[in-house]
Amino acid sequence: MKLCNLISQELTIWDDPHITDHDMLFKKAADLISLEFGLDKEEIKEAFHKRYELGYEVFPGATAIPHGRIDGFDDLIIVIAKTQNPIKFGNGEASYFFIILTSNTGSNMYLKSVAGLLNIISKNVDQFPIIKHREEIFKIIEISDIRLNEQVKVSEIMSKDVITVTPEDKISDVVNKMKEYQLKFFPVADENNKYLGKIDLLDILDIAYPSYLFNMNNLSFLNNLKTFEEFINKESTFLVQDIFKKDTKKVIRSDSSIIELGFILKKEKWHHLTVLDESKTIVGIVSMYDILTKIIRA
Amino acid sequence: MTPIIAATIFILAYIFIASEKINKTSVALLGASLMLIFHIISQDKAFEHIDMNVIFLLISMMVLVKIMEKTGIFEFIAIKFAKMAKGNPYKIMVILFFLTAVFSAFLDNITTVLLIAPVSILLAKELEISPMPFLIVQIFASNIGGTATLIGDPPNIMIGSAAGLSFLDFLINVGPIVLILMIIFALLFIFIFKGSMTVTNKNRARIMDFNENNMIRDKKLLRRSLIIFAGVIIGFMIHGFVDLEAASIAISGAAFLMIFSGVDTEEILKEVEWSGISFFIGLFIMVGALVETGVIKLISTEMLNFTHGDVQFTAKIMIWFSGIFSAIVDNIPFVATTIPLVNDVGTVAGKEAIEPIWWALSLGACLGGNGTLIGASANIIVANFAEKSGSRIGFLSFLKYSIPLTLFSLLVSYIYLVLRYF
Repeated sequence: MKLCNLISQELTIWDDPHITDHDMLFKKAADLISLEFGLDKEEIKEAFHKRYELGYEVFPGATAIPHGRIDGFDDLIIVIAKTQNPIKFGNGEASYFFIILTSNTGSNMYLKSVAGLLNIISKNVDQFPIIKHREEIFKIIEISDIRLNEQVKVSEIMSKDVITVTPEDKISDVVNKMKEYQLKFFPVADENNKYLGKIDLLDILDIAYPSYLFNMNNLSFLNNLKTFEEFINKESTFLVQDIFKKDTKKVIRSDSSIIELGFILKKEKWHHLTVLDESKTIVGIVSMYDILTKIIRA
Repeated sequence: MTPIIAATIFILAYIFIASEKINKTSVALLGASLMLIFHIISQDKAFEHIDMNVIFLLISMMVLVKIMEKTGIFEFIAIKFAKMAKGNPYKIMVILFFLTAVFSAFLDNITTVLLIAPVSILLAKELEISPMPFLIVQIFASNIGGTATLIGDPPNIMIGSAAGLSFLDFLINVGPIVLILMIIFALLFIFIFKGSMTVTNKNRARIMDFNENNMIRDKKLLRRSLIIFAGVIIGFMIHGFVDLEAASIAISGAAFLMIFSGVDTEEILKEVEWSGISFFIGLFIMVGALVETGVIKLISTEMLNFTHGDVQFTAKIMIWFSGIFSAIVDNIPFVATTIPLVNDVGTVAGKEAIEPIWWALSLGACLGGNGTLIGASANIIVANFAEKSGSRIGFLSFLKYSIPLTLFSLLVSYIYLVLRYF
């Protein structure tokens, strides 16, 4: 969500000659919010005051970001105010205010908004004293293109210490590696760590279960199966290149969002993907389990 | 002008289908649409030429077989017989040969080999022998067995529908020669592969260890499938007497089985080979255009000039010509084109009189499928299985068996035809 979409011309107080102290500022802001969103103006004013008691810091450019929290309110409202002359506020004097009304519980978005506003302030310190019209401040906020709930990227949840195999590796070594690392999936990489495909336990089981078997309804009549028994002997005679699946699909770019990741895994019924950077170099692997442990139960 | 355009489109389509470079269904449908777009045949007329009896017979049989397949009965039978052979590879080979032939007569060839080939490879692997003999006998069995009945092979379905020949007609006229061929071929294969398969006692015991009873998961489905399938076969036997087309019987069977099997109708209908069905539709329209523009008439007139309307002579040529032609290219388009030709001959000689020509066409086209590895779809499927199992059947190495055996089967059929009808 873009910060600039959270503010609007209607929620602006610009060069109001009546505002000479924070009391009047909060009253005007509460009136405006109440008018626009049908909330109780006294409660809002009270919330702003309550927080004001704890003190505020004035930021460069004579800016301040006061806020208030009210119960049973699931929203975030930002009022932009400019006083004609600087007014005494917290530990200094300010004339630009970003007044935020938020809920008692939802702090995540509030914190991100504050961070975003601070970012804008710090980048435009010399702009603030010369702002004349409210349009200018909107312009600044829009240009800075701050996003609040930026999605987590695949690169943030993937496993970076990825173990790859090469086409020349013996299957027996791959099986050993699977046991050693408790993994059933390895990306296959060339000498430059570029992605060629993948090999997993099911691919390796192709040796034990040749494809013609899968035209049969079931194998329940068998107690033994020659190809399965021979698997152990054949293991070391097969190389990764004999059985691995060349592939370009079971991958995801490291800068993709986890929304896309979840969608692909669910849609294709895959369990893991190899993560590539823009040059198709392997940088990690990521699975449904990463979404579970790092997002859903973070 | 239109006959020339029609013939050109048809020949081009035929070449592309034979070359197997582009999917044959796409080619047939494109050919059909060109016939429509160039106003060679009107859409109404084109659709009239689609033999719905053939289309619905094919679809219904596919539905029936797809449901039957799920019972595991065909694999059960194959394993059961292999155990009765006590793991003796030659006995198993002969059993697989006869089973494939019998299944092919009542199912379609493709389904049959899809069911039997995996079992054969499994048996061979367990016996630690090459699956090659088992697979090669299956190719021949599927094409020979399929010849026996109206539903055994697509050429027969087309011939039966176009000539008004019943299931029983096929069984009576083609059945005996198929039975003779099966016995001769079984003996020939024992002779050909003699000494090539040796099996240890231990591996024989492995086959005896199979517990085939586990294969039947759903006894209720099996019972119902078998009852309805038996009903369909009985229906086929009498469809000529009760004045019902074969497709009517098959549709009823399929509908009954879909209801009483409890399988998901949507899923089963998805498994119908729509590509094959569409191929037939495309062909029927293209051949329809040839009929409507008089191309067929032209050729049949030439043919009559050459044969002087002599049914015996025509039948004798037909069996060799269709046999050799079907070995080289797909027999389905060949039969689709030949049917209106034979019908034209029939208008001169009489419908009854030309019956031997139909049997000659059926025998030639079906048995000709044995001629090369690409002579019939079932051959290609078996070859693919062989490759998957690690023993490739080469095109040329197959010819070593197929040329003499196919010519031999055509010769035996030719003698049968002459002795029986002339």
